Amino acid sequence: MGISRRLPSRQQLAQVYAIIVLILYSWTILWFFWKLPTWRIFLTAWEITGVLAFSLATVLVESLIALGIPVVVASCLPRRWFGDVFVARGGSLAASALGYMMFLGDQLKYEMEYPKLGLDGWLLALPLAAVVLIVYAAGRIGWLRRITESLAERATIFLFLMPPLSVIAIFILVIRVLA
Amino acid sequence: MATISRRDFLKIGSNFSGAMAVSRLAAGMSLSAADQAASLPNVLILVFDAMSATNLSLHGYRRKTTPNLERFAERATVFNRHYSTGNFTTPGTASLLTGLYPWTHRAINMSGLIVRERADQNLFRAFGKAYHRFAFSQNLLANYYFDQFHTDLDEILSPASFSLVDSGVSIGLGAGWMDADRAIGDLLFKEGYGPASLVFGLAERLRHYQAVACRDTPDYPNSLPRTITPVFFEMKDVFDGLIATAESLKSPSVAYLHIWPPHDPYVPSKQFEGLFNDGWAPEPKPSHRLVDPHRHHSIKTVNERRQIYDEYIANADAEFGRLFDALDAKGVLDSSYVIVTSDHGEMFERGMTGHETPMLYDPIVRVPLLISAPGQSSRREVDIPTSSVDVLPTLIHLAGKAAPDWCQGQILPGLGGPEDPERSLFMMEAKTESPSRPFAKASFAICKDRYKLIDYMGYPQYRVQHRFEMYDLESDPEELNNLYSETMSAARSMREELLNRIESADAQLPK
Repeated sequence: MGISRRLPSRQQLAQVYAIIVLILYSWTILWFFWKLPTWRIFLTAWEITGVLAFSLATVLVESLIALGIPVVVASCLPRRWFGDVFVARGGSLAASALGYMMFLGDQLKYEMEYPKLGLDGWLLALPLAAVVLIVYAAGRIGWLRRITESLAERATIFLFLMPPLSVIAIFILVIRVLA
Repeated sequence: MATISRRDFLKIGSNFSGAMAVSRLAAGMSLSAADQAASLPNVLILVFDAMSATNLSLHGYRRKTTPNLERFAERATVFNRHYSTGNFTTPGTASLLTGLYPWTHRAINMSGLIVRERADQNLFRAFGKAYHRFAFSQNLLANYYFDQFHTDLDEILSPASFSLVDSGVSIGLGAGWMDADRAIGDLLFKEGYGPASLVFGLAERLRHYQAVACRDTPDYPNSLPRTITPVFFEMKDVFDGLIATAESLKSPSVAYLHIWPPHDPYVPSKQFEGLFNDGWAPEPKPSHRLVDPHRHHSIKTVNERRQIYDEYIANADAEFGRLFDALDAKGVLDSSYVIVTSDHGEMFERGMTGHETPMLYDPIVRVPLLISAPGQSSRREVDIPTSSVDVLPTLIHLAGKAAPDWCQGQILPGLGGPEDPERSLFMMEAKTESPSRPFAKASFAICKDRYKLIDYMGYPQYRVQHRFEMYDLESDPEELNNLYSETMSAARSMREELLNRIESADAQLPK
């Protein structure tokens, strides 16, 4: 079977992308607002807009990279393993992988501890095994599959909000550079 | 046309104060602009972060921590009672670079900036375009000021320069991109709790992890020296970089070089580990009420930390010795003013270690200041109190210009300024305060002649709005015997002066 036959439809892509957008944009915006009170003291509104614009532009690129992972997996695996249940398995892959990245990022927050920190066993192998298990279960267990697909469908509303915001952000950055 | 060579200039400079020489030259000889520029001495400002004067053998400390600074002192003016205006990097560095007290520049809390209307009042602008103006700081907090001053700087190095693990965040963005730098650096990548950029931030952390954890460093078998941002370095690399920088500076240049050691985490190299394992410990001091109970250390821990700090200072001093020898060999010392100082001190007493404290005792605010004039060959001592706000006007004076009128400091004694023992100096700490509001909870100190008065204002640990402590630094240099009394005339006058200054600072808050 050709790779193109294994690739998901646009609608499937959009639904998985919606889950990614929901997670990534929420994460970035949350941290932005966490820092905002401090910035209000010594940055101008235009400078804060610049910070937000950089953040939103970055998260757009990140979301597209994150979308690439389930697409690559789908194109590598037999269609009946992944492509036929792309929304459930792709969505669960994206969500669990991003969740794992949050966990790993938290483990790596103290650079002082790097020399003593071992990135093996429970930090790498076990979580990755858990991700594989979740992805498998999301395509195999009916109620889990329905929940994932339902969530993905509802999350598509964010596609009309978040990526356009990033486009505006890129526009602001261009103005900044030209100014 | 009368001309003067660089050698002639230096001969004059070694006999008279540099400033007098330059100003006379400027007034009396018709040099071309290029000749005048070439005849101006370089100015190298080397700032060690968190180097307390009280831990330096240069100033009589029991452990031999600074043999190389002592060698340097043999050809410098040594200020034995020099004070930073703050007890951490943000206010201390801002005062050094602006000649303003923290209540005026308002860079008072972590990551704080100089208030916008004062950002033009900086060292680099005061030197002017005749100088090549260069800045490097391993401490990101000082880099924020470079960005504020970017139109007055010709060259800014990344804080990760000369390091093993380069954050790469600031590179390519250049000056004037502070918000971008903060967004990408602080928020998206390096935020301690995030990172906000889940994909790139994690990739950055993994890259650091791989670079740091997998690196074989014989000099640092346990852990590498690092800054507060994830930049790891070996001290010898940083000083190699400084040597190369100092030797290749265009003439005339003013270079601000701010290095991380001996700031926490204290990581002396293998050669210096255990150097001061001598069993010595100073007489313990009683715990202070403002020490956070969760961060209170036992006397044993305080002494252990002090020992490692001393070893880190000795390590930094040895590297400074290499820099000193290299500059001497290349003749840089004969053509430059070299300033060695620090932005704040460090404290190992009263139940605490480090400098995250509201306290303003000498170990945390008294810092070294040595100024070597071109060709200077003997040591001079200044024993009256001086302040970091004095450095800017002094350097501008030495460059042959009038000190800017906005400066709150004065020209240092021994370098053209008056010896005024009755002069008042101020220090403060207000990390938790807003720069745009009147002070509610802060520490202030006034130092005058032999006395120091400290005001702990608004701390709930005390039942009064102002809790005063007063010490006679001549008879009680360890600041153990609180002399404060309403009936003591010196205490009353210093208290009134300090409170008036605080009130006046609050009244002049920027709109």
